[in-house]
Order: sequence, then C-alpha cells, then structure tokens
Amino acid sequence: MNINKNSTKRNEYIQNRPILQLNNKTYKFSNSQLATFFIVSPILCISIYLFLGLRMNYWIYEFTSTFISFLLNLLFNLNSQVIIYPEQDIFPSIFIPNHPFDGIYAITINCIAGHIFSFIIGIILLVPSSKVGSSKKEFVWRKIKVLVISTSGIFLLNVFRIIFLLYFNFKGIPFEIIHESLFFLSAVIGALFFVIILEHWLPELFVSIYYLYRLIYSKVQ
Amino acid sequence: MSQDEIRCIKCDNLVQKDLTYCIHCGTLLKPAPTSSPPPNQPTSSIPPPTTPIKAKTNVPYKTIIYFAVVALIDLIVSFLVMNGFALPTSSFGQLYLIFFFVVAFSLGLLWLAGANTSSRGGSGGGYEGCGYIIGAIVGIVIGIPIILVSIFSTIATSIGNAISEAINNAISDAFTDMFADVEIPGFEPLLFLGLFAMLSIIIMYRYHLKTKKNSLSN
Repeated sequence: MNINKNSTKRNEYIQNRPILQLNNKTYKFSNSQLATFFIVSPILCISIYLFLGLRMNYWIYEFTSTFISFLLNLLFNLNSQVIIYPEQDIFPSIFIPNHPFDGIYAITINCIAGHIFSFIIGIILLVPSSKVGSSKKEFVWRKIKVLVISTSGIFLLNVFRIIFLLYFNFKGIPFEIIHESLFFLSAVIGALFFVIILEHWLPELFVSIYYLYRLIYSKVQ
Repeated sequence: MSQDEIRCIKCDNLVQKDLTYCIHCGTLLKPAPTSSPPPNQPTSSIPPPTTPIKAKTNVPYKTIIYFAVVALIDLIVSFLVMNGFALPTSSFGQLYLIFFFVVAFSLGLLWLAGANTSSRGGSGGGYEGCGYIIGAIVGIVIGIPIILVSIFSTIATSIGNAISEAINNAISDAFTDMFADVEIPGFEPLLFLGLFAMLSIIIMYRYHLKTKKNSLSN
C-alpha cells in the first residue's frame, strides 16, 4: 500500500516537471541526470586530464609529434626529427636543424591541447538525454558523432597551429609573439567550431543547463 | 470581360489570361514558370503561391563573419607587432585579453542581440537582455576574480598553503610521484572555456526567447 503510494507520488512528481519545447522537440530531464552532469562531469574532466599525463599515454604525444614532424617536412621541407625518450618520463621533442634560435620543442600535454580534449570528452560523455522526444539509441549515436567530429577537428586545428608556429619561429619570428597570436586564433576557431557542432547535433547540453535554470527559477518563485 | 481575360487581384483591371504579370501594376497573376525567366521580364519579390515555404535554417552567418573579422584583426595585429609595432605597454597578453573579453565580445553580443530583436520585430528586449548578459560576463569573468584576488589574496594564499600541506601529509608519496610530472595548465584553456561559456550563454538566451515566445503564443 505504502509502496503504491510512493510510486504514485513519484509518477505525479515526474509528470509535473516542466517540459521545454524548442525547435519542434520536447525536453525533460530528471534531477539525477542534471546532478550527474553538473557534479560528475568536472571531476571526469580533471580525471581524464590526469590520465592523459600518465606515462602509459605518452604514445599520444609521440604520435602527435611524429605527425607534426611529417607534415612539417612535407609542407615546408624543414628536415625536422622527433626525439623520443623511451625510458624516461620526458615528453617527446621536435628538433629542427639550422634553426635561428634553439630548434628543440618539447610537445607537452598542453601543446596537444590535452586540457581541451579532457573538457570535450568529459562534457560530451555525461550530457543527459531527454526523457521524452528521442530514443536512447539515436541519442548515443549523436553523442558518438559529436565526440568523433569535435575531437578530430580540434586535433587537426591544433596540429596545424603547431606546424605554423614552428615554421614561423624557424623563419625568425619570436616564439612568444607567434605562440600568443596563433593560440588566440585557434582558441576562437576551436570554440566556435565546438559550439556549432554541439548546437547542431547535441543541443541537450545547452538545453539541460537552461532546464536547470528554469527549475531553480520556478522553485525560487 | 471575355473568356481570354481575367481581373488583376490588385488593380482590378482586365488583362489577358496568358500573361504572368499585370501590365498595369506588375502584380503576379499566376505562378511563374519553373525555368528561369527571360532577362527583360520584370521580377517580383512575391513567391509563387504553389511553391512550398522552406523551413528557415538558423545558420549564424553574422556570428561566423564576426569571428572571421576577429581572426583577421588577430593576424593584422600580429603582423604589425612582428614588424616592430610597439605597444604602449610590455604586457601584450593583457591588452589582448582586454580586447577580446571586453570590447570585441561586448560588441559581438550587442550585434547578435540587435539582429535577433530586429528579425523578430521586437521592441529592444534583446538589447536589454544582452546588456544583462554583458554585465554578467564582465562581472563574472573579469570583475569578481579581480576583486576576490585583490581582497582575499593573502588569506587565499595561506589557506591554499594549508590545504596543500594537509594534502601532502594525507596522501602517500606514491600518489604524489604518480602525478609529479603533471603540467598545470596556464591561461590557454581559460580562453577556450571562456569563449565556450559566452557562446553557450548566447544560445541559452535564444532558447529563453523562444520559450517565452511559445508561452506567449499559447
């Protein structure tokens, strides 16, 4: 009897929750979904960032360095080489001969935009799905699509940032100036690219934040 | 009125039935042929009534153009600096920060809100709302941290030291060694996250306007 009463109360509670109608779609989220997203996703982002810094993941830096070196030689014929330290916890480096300055660049976790990848993966993995209006399968498929496109797009953007950075530095432009400039440019393009992809394929991210605002607003009123 | 003539719906004059446009006022009499009209034929802005109206896609062309302009400015400024253009201060990064966070994005938000309001035929509500958003962004991103840092820097430093000491004491050396080489991110991710937050606020504000419009129409 008591169980039935509780389940009825719960059903009433779920039915009374606000429903958002945006772009001919309906959205409804539960409290647990919102709490998971807003509390766990920052922890997941930090965890992914720390995980990327582990020795077992140095292959990512080595792969990125080799890819950058290959493109540098292909596009600008700089005869660059990758220096890998297999037995030490040192990030790989790219060496460019006949350089006006130092000519050795360590490719660290921040160089490969590890923090941005941590943010993107942590956020996308925990975006809540709407209780109404879309099936779980379709939602998971959209998540995978956004994850693949955004990570690969930002990876390529960052790779080309580093390529132009090394090339311009090789041509005599001071590292600080060209680093700042290209970093600002790539951050603007990357953020815009990520937001457009999210709004197109995974609007639940923004809708869930707005949904939380509406919930809090209704409670306050 | 003969069988070969019809009345124009606008000027009510009799015109020949096989004509596409009224010879008196130029109004469209019947749907235009699907092939492209001859060059000397007058064109009308009224779409043929049989043509289905396409759903309006919200591609943020203005925003994209705006960011392209910002990127272009970025390149021009970089080029000037590389060629010896000296800024009045040595802190190049701070000037860039001010430019992006305060001037450029405030103008961009205003522009977007203005376009949003004008396309809806609103009465300036977008500007008002956008004012709040800009105020919030400037306040949250720049104002509050500066005030907090300036006021509580001493206290925060001592608290931070105490926390780090407590963590160091509490956590074993093995855990510390595991993440000893972790690189603390500098300013770089903050710019990406800041831009992402601002664009998200714009999108959510658009959602807010849409839901408001829906509730009003209901």
